[in-house]
Amino acid sequence: MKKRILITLAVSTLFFTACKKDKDSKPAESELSFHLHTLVGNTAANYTDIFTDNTERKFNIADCRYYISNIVLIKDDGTEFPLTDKALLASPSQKEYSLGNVPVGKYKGFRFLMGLDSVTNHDDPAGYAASNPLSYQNPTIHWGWNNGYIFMEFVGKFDSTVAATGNPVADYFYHIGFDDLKRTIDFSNSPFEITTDAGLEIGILFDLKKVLNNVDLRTEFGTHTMDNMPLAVKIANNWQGAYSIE
Amino acid sequence: MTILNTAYQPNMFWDGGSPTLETQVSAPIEAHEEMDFNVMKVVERLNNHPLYPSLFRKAYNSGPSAFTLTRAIANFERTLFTGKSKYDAFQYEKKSDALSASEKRGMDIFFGERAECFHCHGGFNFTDFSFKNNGLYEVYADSGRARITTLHDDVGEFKVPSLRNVALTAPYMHDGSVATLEDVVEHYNSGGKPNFNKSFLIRPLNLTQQEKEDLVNFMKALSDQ
Repeated sequence: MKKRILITLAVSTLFFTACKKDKDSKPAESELSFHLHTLVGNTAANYTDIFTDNTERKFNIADCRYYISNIVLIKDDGTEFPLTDKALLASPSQKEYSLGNVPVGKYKGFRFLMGLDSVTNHDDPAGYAASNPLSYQNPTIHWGWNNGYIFMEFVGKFDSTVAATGNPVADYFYHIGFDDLKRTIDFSNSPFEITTDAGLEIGILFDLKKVLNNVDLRTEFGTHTMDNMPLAVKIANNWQGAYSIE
Repeated sequence: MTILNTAYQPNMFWDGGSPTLETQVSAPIEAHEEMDFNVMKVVERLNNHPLYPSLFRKAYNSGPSAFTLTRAIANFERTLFTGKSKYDAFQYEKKSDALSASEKRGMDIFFGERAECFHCHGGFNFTDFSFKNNGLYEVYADSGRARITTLHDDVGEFKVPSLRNVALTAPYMHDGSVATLEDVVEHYNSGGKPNFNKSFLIRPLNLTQQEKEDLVNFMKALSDQ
């Protein structure tokens, strides 16, 4: 009996020591969030406004949503802190995107994917809680026919007159999504510091005018990706240049 | 394509784009050519229904959601089995008189090396679930499997469909462009149209009129009784 008590005591001591050690070694954390502006030029991309593209052609926006995922923070010493299981579905109406708590310290920068990695892209959306951006959305941003997500939905109306003197009444639609069209958005040289005092917001700008760089709305008014891959690639290739730090 | 015995399908749709019966559910709900609706709106309707919420809770211990909706439909589809045709009686119940003389001749053609149907339409479900280009067109409006894989070698390839109950599932081919089983046999007998990706098994068969009739009669013997 004596022996058993001794063993129990020893185990409890070990347990409490381990707990204490774990608590002590846990790094301090603070909340990080993206403050993301979806713009057309310098103007907020409101669905009620009319904008002009790079050739002064009028267009409006009916739906603009895009996935940001695989966010990786790069610490000062070069080690990486990936924010796993975090996908954002961004849209002009929302600016704050909480990324949760991350370790305090100095960071060299960060990067993320515009779109989704090939595993997440073919997950079952029904497997996600309704609050998760990867669950089925209304309106949909997922393709049932190939079980993959639309990385960027960007649709609305444009002025289709040759002289660009009319109003936005013709449809344009860019449904961009395909494993190969994910793009890494690299801000690895954009230092920031997270302290215990307060959370940090990283201000990011995403300019839809730049997404339309070299896209002629009159002739390149639509792609569902697979039916016009060259146009989908062109738009995806514009994503990196459309991002900047506020 | 029949949804009977669909539990055996390794992937869904003619181009195999959806990996499971669960993920397949959203496509007909949301496709513009079909229901042109939305999964979450279906869930909302089910939640407002007087009976479905309690039925869902009984089955899944949870009300209607995208998860339970897709599971419920997929699991229902998995109960749709077939396997009671005249051919099954002949082949598996060993009833030698279950097939007529013409149907037996058709069966020999089907499983013979001259028509070679069984190479793709083999096994219990009369399909090997592969994707094949059967020379239906010189230029395909629908790129088929290539829409999923983007591979040039997959252009015009569509899933080999099960032939169970095939007499009941007209019209035929991936686009329903062939009206009757007789026309289907004519297509294969002709060797199809030239296409760079056509299966090497699709070539002129030179079947006689009687052989073509026998082949059709055999396929009609694959209907459940």
